[in-house]
Amino acid sequence: MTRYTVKILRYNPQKDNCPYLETFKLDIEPAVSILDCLNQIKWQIDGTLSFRRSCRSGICGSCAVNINGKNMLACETQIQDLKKRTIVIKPLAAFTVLRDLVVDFDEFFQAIESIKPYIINKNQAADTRETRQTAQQRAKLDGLYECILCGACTSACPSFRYNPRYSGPAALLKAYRYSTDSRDNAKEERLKLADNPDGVWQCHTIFNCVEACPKNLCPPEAIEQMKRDIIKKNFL
Amino acid sequence: MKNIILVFVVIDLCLCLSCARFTNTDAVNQNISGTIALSLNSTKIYPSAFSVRWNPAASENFLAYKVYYDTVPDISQKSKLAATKFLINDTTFFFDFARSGTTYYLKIFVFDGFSSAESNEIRVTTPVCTCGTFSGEKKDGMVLIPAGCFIDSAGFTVTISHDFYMDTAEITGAQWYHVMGPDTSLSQFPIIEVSWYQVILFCNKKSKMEGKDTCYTYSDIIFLQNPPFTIEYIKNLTCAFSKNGFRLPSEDEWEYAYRSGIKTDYYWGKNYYNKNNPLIIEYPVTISDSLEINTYAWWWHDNETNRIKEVAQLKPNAWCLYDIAGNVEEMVWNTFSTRPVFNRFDYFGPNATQESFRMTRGGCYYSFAEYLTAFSRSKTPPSISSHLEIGFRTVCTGTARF
Repeated sequence: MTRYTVKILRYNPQKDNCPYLETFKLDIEPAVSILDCLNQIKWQIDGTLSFRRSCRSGICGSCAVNINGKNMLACETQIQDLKKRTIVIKPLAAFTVLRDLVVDFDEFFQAIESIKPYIINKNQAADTRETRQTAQQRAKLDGLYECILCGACTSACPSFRYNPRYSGPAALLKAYRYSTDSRDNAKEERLKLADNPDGVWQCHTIFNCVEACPKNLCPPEAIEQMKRDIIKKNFL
Repeated sequence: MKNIILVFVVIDLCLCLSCARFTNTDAVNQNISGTIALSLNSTKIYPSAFSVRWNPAASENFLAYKVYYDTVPDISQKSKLAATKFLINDTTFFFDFARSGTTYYLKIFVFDGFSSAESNEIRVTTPVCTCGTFSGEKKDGMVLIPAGCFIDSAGFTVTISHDFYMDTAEITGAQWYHVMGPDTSLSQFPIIEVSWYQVILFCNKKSKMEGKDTCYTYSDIIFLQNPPFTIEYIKNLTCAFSKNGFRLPSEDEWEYAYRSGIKTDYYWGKNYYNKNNPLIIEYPVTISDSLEINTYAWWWHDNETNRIKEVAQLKPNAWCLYDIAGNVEEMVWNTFSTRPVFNRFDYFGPNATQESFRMTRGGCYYSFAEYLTAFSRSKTPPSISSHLEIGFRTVCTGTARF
């Protein structure tokens, strides 16, 4: 058992004028995750602490929070890996805080919805067999499909912080993922949606999203490829 | 009774200790003999720096010199500490974080473990910040930028101590392939999709081609297996800024060249502030403003023009530098850090590690107006070459003026 100091940014809009850091002292094993710490605080110390959680295995993307200044998944981060006895947990930056560590993802999901994140196959009749994909075609989706929509990348993006109308790296990565899929033929449509001042052109390849992504994906590479496609479409 | 004895013992112990301290102090005071005369090196006073020196302390038990300063007189050990020096013969101090047009008071304190001695107090007034006189001298597509000083966006004084030559336009595809081969390109578009590490190799190779000294030294280049020939990391990379070869500018050199003596956000002497909030730049700028920007920079105007353009098509800044605001962002030497909030003298940024990102400055062909300013900053990983909006221009160090 080791004693850790966990500071959490608390905010209840019905009660508090502004957010404040609350300190909790925990005696825990160093090998537990940050999510376990949050659970221990909620179950044993303060039941009013709010945070999102679901799968506790890095798949659902619910528990992305800012830990010691970096966006991470609480369930995948072991407390010993932080190499610090004091841990500061804050909600994801750039989103509106609803309560404690829970932020408003409405705009984030609206942006993803706007780029049509599903396979559109206009040639396929409604009742035919499944569309098959070769191994090579499937391999093109590696590094694109793994996104769990946790919002860590969009929160870390300085362009998104400056201009909240920007679709964000997660939405554009999704757009590129479906445009690359061999079963999809709505690439032109998605490029048109992304070709606006709040779309791909807001990305200045700052790579904060790559540092933040818990799945080690690279949204800027996808966005740059979309820019290339747009330039080819418009000028060549 | 026990208590009384204990009190006596404690008092006795205190007396002994204080005696010991008195004896030691006396001995050491004899060691620091003579006075410490602090003087200003009058040949080295710049807007953001000056040099002082003093005579070495005559002490056998020397521990340290401490330089204290403030903008009000009567310096004591409660004033601000500028530096601590542990070598007895290290008796000069270069105060390189001064503000221009400000009076500073300095005093040296000598410590030898048990006592201290102090020097006289000196008063230094730094000159007012001015940029150098532009001569218009051009050589091989480069223009001579005079040494001088500017005030950055946060109000800090920055001095560039040497003249330097800077490319009037961003390095084009033709120039890149002439150096890196194959020399078949005639492209007058700025080179993009090259990584920061490739640019470092370009600078060294171009220096060798033109018979100049190479600025960059490194111990090893590590390549990635996949994709092949991509540089992952250049080990122990250092830059000799005083050599005459080609190199990337520092952030301060770039901003000094951008401003070309002008104090507004944009080099054409304009600010486009939001009328309701003067802290932010208007978004989007008005139509008349955007037409004005069109004459100086390639930027986000409409979808029809949204691609890179050939270099040197629009109006240059006062020092003949084309496209410094728009077209492509420009790589600089500095590693990524938050905006420096101190006065600077020939500042080249924090030391690099393998994970260090590098800064880019200026805006690109799809930037909005707020990215075209003198102080817009962005960053990029040095090994990645897939950027469509990052180019560079090189500089060569000229004569040191200060």
